[in-house]
Amino acid sequence: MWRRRSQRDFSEELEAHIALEADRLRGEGLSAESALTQARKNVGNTTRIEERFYEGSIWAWLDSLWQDLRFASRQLKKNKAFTLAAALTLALGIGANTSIITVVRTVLLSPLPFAEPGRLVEICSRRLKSGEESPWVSFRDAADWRERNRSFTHLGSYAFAILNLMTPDGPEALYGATVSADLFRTLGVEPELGRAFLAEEDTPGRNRVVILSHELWMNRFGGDRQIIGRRIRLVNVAQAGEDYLVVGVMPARFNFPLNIPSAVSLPTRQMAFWVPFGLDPAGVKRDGRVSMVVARLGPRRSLPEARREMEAIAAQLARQYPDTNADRGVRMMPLEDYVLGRTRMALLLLLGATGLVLLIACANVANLLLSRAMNRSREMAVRVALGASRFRIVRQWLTESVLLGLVGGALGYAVAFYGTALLLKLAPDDTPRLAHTHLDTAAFLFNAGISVLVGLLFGLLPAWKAADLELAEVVKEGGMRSTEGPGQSRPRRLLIVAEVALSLILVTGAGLMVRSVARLLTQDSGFRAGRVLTAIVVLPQSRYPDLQSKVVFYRKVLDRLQALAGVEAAGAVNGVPLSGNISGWPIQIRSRAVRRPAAARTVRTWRCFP
Amino acid sequence: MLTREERDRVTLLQGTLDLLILRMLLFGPRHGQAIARGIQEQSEDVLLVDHGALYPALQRLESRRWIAAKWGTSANNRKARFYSLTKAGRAQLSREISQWRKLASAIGRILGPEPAEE
Repeated sequence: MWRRRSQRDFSEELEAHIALEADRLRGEGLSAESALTQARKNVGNTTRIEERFYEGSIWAWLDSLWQDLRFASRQLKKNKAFTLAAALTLALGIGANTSIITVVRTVLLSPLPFAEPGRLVEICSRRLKSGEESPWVSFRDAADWRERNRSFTHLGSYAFAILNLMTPDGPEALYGATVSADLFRTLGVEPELGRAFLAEEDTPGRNRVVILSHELWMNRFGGDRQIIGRRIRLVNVAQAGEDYLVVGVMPARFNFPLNIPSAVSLPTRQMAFWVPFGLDPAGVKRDGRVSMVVARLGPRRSLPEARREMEAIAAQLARQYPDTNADRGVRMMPLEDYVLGRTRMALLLLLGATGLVLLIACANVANLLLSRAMNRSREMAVRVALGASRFRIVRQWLTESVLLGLVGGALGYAVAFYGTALLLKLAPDDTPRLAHTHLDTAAFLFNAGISVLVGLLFGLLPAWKAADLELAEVVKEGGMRSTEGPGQSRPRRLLIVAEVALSLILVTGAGLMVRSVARLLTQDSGFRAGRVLTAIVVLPQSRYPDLQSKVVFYRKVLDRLQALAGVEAAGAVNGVPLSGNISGWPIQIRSRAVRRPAAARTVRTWRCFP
Repeated sequence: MLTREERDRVTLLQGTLDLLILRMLLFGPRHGQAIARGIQEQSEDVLLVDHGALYPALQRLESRRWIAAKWGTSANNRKARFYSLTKAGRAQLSREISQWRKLASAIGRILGPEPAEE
């Protein structure tokens, strides 16, 4: 580090230089005295040279930075209205970006919470003729795939489930998943407490075991480590048994399935429990497509290889079971793509849009600063006259704008706090991993970083403009300046053009998006969704053992609902139209109060009550 | 207030001062005054080194570890700070020389042959 050299050492070097120069001149025949004078003249202004040395040292730099900071904060305090307007503009831009980046980071960038997520593959079914795809796969097909393939080390099935947890305060509906015993091994995740499912627990009659999510364990069971081996009462509509043995608790950040296909709409994104299917594949119909499949590629196996193999297996099955599998192929994609596919595009669009908003905010603030730069040109002229270098003036301006950026960034962090919460509320259900999204250290650092960057960005033009003044012009104009010369307005015009262009992009993009949303809203779904309330009801098998008793229950509920003031009509169905929920396994029965009961009847495959 | 003689001198291009300093040190250590003197003499008084620029340049080269400095005694027994080329500096010098030659010959080709002496 050359900064360590002392000022005195440097002065001595200069003195030596002059002495040597004088020696030389004496050698050329000058008298001692005039040689020294001439030497000094040759070297020039030593004070100036020493100053340059000082300016190069880190202390001088910090010293003047501190001066600049104090001056800048005085300036900002003096112009409260300006500061407030600029800071608020920036706060919106910076805050929005911090929010979006936070979401993008957790949802898109952080790796899926599984071991080697890159080797996980989602296997969907595909109709060969129409190319229509669905994540729902036949349970028996999955069993055959598991048996015949050589590409995957594990192949797990899963589906959604709703169970009532019986608590002292009454039943609580929980959302979780039914899974095959090897699902956790497929994902390569171990429970933080207890164990994963055993193979024999995935057989009929032995599947009364449950693994809890960390959240459920903390919230419902107080994080009690004695939970393992305890029985909890879970009521499953499809089965008679009610006591489930707790065998494990998953770690905090684990969640699976990560995205709920649009076919299912659940009120929460964190699965609360996992239970084994406990199905005998031989006893399940081959055309019931009720579970989804995720598989782990073996070491040294590639996706294209696996794809070829699986297609061959699907063709085999089609020959073997022409009635059900004739038109059935497979579609495989990395789990990451399956989980993030649609979300990625939407989030990146949003990111782009907020980026533009920030740029526009910058342009606005730059514009404000520019007009201030013109008003302060006399101040700048005085500084230049007193010997301030252009670099110093630019730096002083940049200090001011970075400080302004930081003020905006601080406010922006508050905006980001509420913005992130708002985003989480507005995000569609199938956005994965939102449950784990929150502002963290990285978000804070991003926020601070972007504040500084933005401060430099919008400060650069005004700073350059402020330093680039014609001293003589300013002095000539004296104190009488109120209008701008034609040359001075050029950067402002450029800024305005840039701003208009950016706004246009943003407005066009937003317009296109609004149009597609509007089209979705005006799409005639055959029923009017306004003023309709829905509720999910799960009936315990023990109290409603057969279809008859269930029908009686629903009739009673609907009668009472219809008797309520303000209810025009009520109905029940096992899937809400357009939510796309196909009656799955285990059977979910939904009741809904429908204004036009006829609507529910139009969808024939759904069991419904008018 | 330049004299005619001074006006005929060429202002150094940015970056060329570094090259010249390194070149001055090729055959052994020199102090600042000798470097400035050397550039002026070897360029036959065409190039005048601005001392305000010389010392910052020396600092810069030192910080990049292309030159090293040590206090010593000059031929006429004066204390002076002597600069010498480091190994990295030697490599940098040959790089800069070949770059400069390339640049000069390219510009020369564009400008065409020199006209006869005025």
